[in-house]
Amino acid sequence: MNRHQVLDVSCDACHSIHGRATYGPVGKALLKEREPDLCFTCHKDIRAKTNRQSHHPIREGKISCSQCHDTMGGFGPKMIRADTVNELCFKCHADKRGPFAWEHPPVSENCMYCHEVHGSNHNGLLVRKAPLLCQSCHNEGRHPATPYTSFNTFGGSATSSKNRMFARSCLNCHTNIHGSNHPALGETFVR
Amino acid sequence: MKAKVCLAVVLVSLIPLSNAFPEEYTFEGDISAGGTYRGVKGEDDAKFFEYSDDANFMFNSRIRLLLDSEKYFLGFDATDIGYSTQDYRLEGGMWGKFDLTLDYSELPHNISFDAKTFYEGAGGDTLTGTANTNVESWNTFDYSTERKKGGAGFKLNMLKPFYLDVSYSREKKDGIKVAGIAETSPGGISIELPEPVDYTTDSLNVEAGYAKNPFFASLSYYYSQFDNRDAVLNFINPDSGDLDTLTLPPDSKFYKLAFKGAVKLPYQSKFQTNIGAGKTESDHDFFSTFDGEVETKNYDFVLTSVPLNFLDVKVFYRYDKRDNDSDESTGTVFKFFDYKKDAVGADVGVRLPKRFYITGGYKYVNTERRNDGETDPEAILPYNKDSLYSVNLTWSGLDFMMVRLGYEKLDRNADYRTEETDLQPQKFYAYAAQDADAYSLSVDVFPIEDLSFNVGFKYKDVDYTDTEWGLTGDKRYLYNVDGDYTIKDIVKLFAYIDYEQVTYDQFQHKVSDPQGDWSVKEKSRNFGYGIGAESGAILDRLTLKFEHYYLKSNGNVALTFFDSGLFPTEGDNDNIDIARWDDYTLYGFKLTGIYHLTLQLDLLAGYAYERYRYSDAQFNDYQYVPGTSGSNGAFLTGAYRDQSYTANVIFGGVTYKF
Repeated sequence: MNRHQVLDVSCDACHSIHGRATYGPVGKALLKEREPDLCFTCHKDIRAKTNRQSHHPIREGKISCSQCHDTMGGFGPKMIRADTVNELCFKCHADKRGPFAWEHPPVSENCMYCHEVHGSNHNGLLVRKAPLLCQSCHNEGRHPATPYTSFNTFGGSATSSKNRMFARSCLNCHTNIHGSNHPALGETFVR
Repeated sequence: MKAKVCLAVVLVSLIPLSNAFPEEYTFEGDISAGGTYRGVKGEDDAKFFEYSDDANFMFNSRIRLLLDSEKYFLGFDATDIGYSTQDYRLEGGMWGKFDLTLDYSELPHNISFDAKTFYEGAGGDTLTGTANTNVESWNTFDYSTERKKGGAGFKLNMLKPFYLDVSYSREKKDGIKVAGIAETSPGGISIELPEPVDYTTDSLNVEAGYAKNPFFASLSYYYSQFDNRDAVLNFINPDSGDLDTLTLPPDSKFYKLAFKGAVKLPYQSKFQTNIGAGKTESDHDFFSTFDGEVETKNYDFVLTSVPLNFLDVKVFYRYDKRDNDSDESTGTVFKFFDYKKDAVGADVGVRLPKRFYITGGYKYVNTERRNDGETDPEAILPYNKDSLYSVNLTWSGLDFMMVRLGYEKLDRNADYRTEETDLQPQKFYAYAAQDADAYSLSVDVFPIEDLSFNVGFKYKDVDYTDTEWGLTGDKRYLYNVDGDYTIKDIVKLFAYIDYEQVTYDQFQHKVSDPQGDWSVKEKSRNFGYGIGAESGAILDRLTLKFEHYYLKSNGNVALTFFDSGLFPTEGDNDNIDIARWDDYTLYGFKLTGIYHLTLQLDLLAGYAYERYRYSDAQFNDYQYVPGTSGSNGAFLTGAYRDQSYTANVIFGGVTYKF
């Protein structure tokens, strides 16, 4: 399932064909450059994302592309080193794997419904900011269906509902959004 | 101290091991030492130190050693010795026979320094104290976590065609992260809490296999155990004055057994399979009547072939299943989520004359979901049927140019299975029916040996076809230009420019009083560039490097209300928009000079400057206690409060190579 092969990317695009393998990840694989610069030669959109304010420490050199992706191919999506996205994420974020009494279905299915793993403008690597991210699914009534405006910010003049908007918005209360085991208040992820 | 002990052990270990190299060997490496001063100005400098040690002055260190011979090798790499970013790796073995690694690393994640809370006991599992508005009297703490990971690995290849690969790691993560609760639910004020993080994760991976043409087979076992010292966070709830409880991540275990196999067949064909089964279990001291158990299964079958020298073919089938078999507690209805996915597809690549290569692909995915605990478990979440089409064209007909064109189309059907849910105007975007089109273009040009540049473009348009309330569409454009040019080994120049624009369209309906429709157009624009130059050695002695980068994000939310009852007092469609939506500007440059004193000795000195400005409607004019009652009320701690900073960095050092 090597996507590189399907797209006719040749071995010498990444590897030197001369020389002898040496110590270290770069030397052993005879890579032409260090990661992530080598990968960014083609994946410009990922490079742009890793420069965003919220990012995994890729540009700091603390996480390499090949820690998550197998460039020689894998059976999981996007050549990741696991069979599913969540299985990969839980290797480092085991606190999110539960199992929980109260599950949040999109969380249990695919972390990437809410997170942009390479980098995002929004804290917590979120694909969008709360409350809009949450409201893109939740419109049941009460506060999920309420519009929050510039009047609901710290300096705004709204007389109610500001704590649904300012600071971390929905997460000010729904802190266990990845799942909860609270018998009484777990269903709404507030405990 | 611990780091120094580790280093001493490693260096001493190299001495006797060098005797294990009976034949001729080389011993090479480099040792760098120096210092870095980081002067940071800002209300909170945590953002600058996000993934680094927060010391203003650091002694820099890097040691790389390699003992190498025809048969054996032994390498050691150490960085940032003694700091919270320290990293050590020792690797040795016989080339092609076996390989043993030991590694240890630390990684901090700093979110906010000097956060404040009226509670006593931040970092522990019990928070006591009385809510008050005298913020100056509150206790301070840092929102910061640190990972410390150590591990060992062993690879055995000397019994070819059999191999064995074993690795183990233990990661401890501790610190404080931000949490929040509603004082009363529903409604009530919100309270931010410092949540203790004291996790330990042990992971073991064992893989044994056979690899000899035309066969490959491997069996692997993965085990991960997660322990959280604190099952719950107890806190005094200001509303009742009593101890309340926030549940924390539960202890859990994950096991997985997997088989991978491949066999080569005639016509340059290969059949590959991947079969896995896993189980996750969680324990709960706080909630002893609930035992979590989730089973997962996956199968993959792939056939690739090159039946003709101009034709590449791949067909595949994939199956994924998640089954939540957790025990249900008597009298409580939980929400357990299951899914099942089947995917089948094919890719065909054809080499055409004039160095054209075209690939076409089709993938069909059927997803079935079930949410136990709902009145009708199958009715809430839809089944999806996805058809994904892709075409890619590569042309390398000129020696100095390569062009890649791509197109992908996703046609997602959502089957809600009951008329009631099908007719609901509200749709969850993750599962909603959609038509998505994505286009990409990339042109690489390298007209002369020392010059290359690339121009790229991507466009994606997603239309959520059946959604009336919720996310109805998103569009994104990405442009990038890159280039580098080397002038006669004198200087190497490089530059890049990125621009991305993303727009989300959302239509909502407020159900309760006051009722009314409203819509959102959320837009973010990101522009960034970087330029740099690196000289060749001037008079064989001096190398100069210069880098400059700039990044700007501009987001805004345009709201439109279609019913006047929705407007806040003195609000209308001209003044409700949100202008600051994670806006930031990052600007910096770095100048480095390296003086090659001798062939072995380099002296390095440099200066860097970085300025970050952040502005966001949800954090500007920050208040720790914006109100003490009702839905304007909150007791906040300052998490993510003010991330702007200006930093001046001076660094220098010496590197000895041998």
